[in-house]
Amino acid sequence: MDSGSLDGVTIRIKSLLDERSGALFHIAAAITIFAIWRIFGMPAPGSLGRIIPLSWFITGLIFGKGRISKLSPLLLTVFLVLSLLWAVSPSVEVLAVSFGLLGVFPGLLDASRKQAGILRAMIPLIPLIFLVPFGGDEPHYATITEDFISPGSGEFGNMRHQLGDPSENIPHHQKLFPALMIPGYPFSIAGVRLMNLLFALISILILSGIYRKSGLYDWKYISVLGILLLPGSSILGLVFPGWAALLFFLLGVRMVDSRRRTLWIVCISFILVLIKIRFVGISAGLLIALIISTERKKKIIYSTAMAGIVILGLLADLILLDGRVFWVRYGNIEFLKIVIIQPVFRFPEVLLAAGSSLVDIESGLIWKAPWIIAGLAGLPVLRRKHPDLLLWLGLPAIFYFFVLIIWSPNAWAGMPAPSGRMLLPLMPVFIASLGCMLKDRKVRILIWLSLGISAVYFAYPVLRFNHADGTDTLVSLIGGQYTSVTEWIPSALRLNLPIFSGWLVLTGLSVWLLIKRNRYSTFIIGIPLLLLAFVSGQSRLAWEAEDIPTEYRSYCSMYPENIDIGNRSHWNFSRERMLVMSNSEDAVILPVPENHDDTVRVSIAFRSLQSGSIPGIELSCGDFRDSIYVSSGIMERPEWVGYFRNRELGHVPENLEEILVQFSFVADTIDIIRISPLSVGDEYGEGHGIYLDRIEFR
Amino acid sequence: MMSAIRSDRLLLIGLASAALFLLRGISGFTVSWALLFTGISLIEKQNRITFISLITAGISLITGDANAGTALILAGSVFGIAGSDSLLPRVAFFASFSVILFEGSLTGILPLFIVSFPALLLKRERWRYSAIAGGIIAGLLICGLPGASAYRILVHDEVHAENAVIWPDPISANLNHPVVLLEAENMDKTDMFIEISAGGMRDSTLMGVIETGGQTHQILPGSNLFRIRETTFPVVITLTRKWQPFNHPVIWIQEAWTVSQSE
Repeated sequence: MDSGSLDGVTIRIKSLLDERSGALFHIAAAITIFAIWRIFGMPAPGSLGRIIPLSWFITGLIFGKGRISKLSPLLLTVFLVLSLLWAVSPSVEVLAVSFGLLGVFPGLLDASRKQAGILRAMIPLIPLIFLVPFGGDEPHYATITEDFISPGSGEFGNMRHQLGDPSENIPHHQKLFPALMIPGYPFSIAGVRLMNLLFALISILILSGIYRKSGLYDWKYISVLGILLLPGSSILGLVFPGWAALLFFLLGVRMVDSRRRTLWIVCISFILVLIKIRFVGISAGLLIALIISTERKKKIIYSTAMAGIVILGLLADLILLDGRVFWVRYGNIEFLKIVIIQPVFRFPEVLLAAGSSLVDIESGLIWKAPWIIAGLAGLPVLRRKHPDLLLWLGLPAIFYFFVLIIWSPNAWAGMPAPSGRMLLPLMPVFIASLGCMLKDRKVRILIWLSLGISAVYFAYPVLRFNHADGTDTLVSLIGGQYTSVTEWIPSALRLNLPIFSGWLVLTGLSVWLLIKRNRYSTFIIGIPLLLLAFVSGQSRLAWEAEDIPTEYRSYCSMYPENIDIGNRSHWNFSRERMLVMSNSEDAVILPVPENHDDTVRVSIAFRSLQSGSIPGIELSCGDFRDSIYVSSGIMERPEWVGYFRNRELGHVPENLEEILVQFSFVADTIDIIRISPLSVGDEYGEGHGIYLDRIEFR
Repeated sequence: MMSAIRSDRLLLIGLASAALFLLRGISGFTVSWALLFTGISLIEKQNRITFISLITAGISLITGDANAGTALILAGSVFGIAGSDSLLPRVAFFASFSVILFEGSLTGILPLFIVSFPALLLKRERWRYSAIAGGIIAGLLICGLPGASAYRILVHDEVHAENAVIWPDPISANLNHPVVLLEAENMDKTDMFIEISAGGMRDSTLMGVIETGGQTHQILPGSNLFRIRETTFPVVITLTRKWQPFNHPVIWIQEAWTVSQSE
């Protein structure tokens, strides 16, 4: 080979390296992460240690031509440094792994701008879906799919009856969504999940088309952001009806310009109801948007025609389908009572649910997707620049949201299923408004914070599942058991009104500052957050009894034993779990906080269920010992409960009055207290014992 | 040099540090955090790497695990030394690192500390990164993987059932929490069973030990059911393996339960 041809080869290699530096970087990073995982001995080398490098590798393959994404090397470096420290603490391990995954996102976002960009951006996420355990409603939906093909074959565990089903034979899940998954059935769990991934892919493709048509800047990029910015992509590729509903919703919006748009929208509105009744809000929003956007003369005709179609649909369900879609579930007086009672008698709870969707630690979006602040701030811009987009995406979203919280203010979030999934239909409008704010540097920070949180939920899907017990799994993992941060963050379940409303005000203020583009907004928002971080490290002065870690308890059990919210959703008062002391060996042993005064005051809030002699509670600290024997009465039934049933409230812990006792003692050298029950044991009746709620030092 | 520092930044540093000391007291953690924050605030041209330092500083405050907090401050300081453009913030980051080293809650960081000093004096960012990478490799070769000087002990959740105590949920011990404790009040001198799976190694030598009273039982790789006679609580299960490349040692305590003498 002569020197000329050698030079040619060198130049070609150089230009190839230059053109494909992005792709090559991702492949090299995949190899590096794979190797580092093994050299540092990080846990789960067979699952996470393969899937995360695989995501990098696939990103390299689909990246095509282009330079290295700006943030990727930085995030890879962060992974390398944090993974070096993984053995220090489980929290550092979680952060290291999450940064390892976050490093893929800049590549995905860059790839989204290329040809078939949305497809390119979604492919590397596919392996991550298999980290999510097949659970919750997934096997129930899959069993219904199975019933269409091979009834009773038990591929998905034959999970039939479920809490909330109208009867043994009629599940509360409807049949259209499981029917849509039939093509995936032969491939078992992977098949039904891939069908849902397909729904998500088509939804995002339609969404990007809608954005493009509206002239939204960087429409492909923001569509992909739409997937990544949901916490851990929420239910991407999981067997839940959210993405299928979004697909039909967006298809309806896409058809707005077609000649037969009325027919399309009416059909889609019905399909949405057939997927899940709660999507009736989207249907209503679509139909109202249709009426608003038609000529004045046709408005009355359309409204009458639609009312007629709804009546015909309800009759068809009753006569042809034995009422299986609507009547067996909702065509009864009880349902009608709910619709009336919730906004009239339980208005504070409905309001609380609306606030929770933003700030509640378990289900609120500001914690899991802080970009929502920019999404809200962008709405005025969206209204000014793209009013049609706001009408067609916003109105169905608003109606859906109202239906969700009015229908079920106690359980709107659908926990323990992944947080954020219920708010999926709100995503298109908020992502569109976020797209109007992208140029603001502060908004970019919010986006990257959200992407970071999303990466945590991707890598550790189990953290997506909260149980409506007042604690968030991610905060508990990062904060640990001893942090007092939970005292300062809002929870609808453990309602502390000043804190809850304080966070709502702070969120509102943040939105307002972003709208006004205030130059001091970073400081105004940053200072309360910094103060929160400072106070969260102080030693705990209060313990919710159910949060007391094992090392501070001797035995004790939880009430109810099962953490599922289904067991508490019909409680009339507080839905907090309680720590039960029903055996003489049960006890709580807590350290007295540092820097206490000479006299320590301990307040204990509890319920005492008497089924035999009166139970007692004792506090001891060194030589000090004091006790009280007391029994709780039953609380007065709330007025609205009487509209449903006339029964008196049962003698069960959740209906008992709470008792607050205070003990004062001089703490000298002993720095632990012991709280134990008296007059308890197996010889007493069922449920007899002390049900601890909260312990506070003063 | 001091005149170049904007007064508003000094005010921010002062206020943040004062608030931190007031609310959390003065300790190695708070001093190193204040120095890290000083370094971040003094950076003239904020860039992405310094933003990462800010993120680690923020999370270090929230975490209730003191070791994790210190490790995150260390990571923030290392990023700061590598990524900040002027000497003064780099000195603050190095000072933060020094406090962590002398505080002593992390092990295996001395080589990185030694390398950080010349690194902070280097003008070129690329050289600083190279020096720190060298420090990391040297640290791995000399001291092994950094870890916590005080072990994190997990106390397993027990359930009282009839005359027995059971630990029904699986729990694991690995390098970042190598000790698991099983406690049961007033259950001494009963027999107990512990179902254990251990692995992640490339050999079949000792993985860990079960200690109770004077008894010690060895845990070897694989699945085993241990019967411990006349147990004295607490039962301590310790992963004794240290870090070695290409090994991922883990002990899973699948289930444990006590039995009465008659059984």
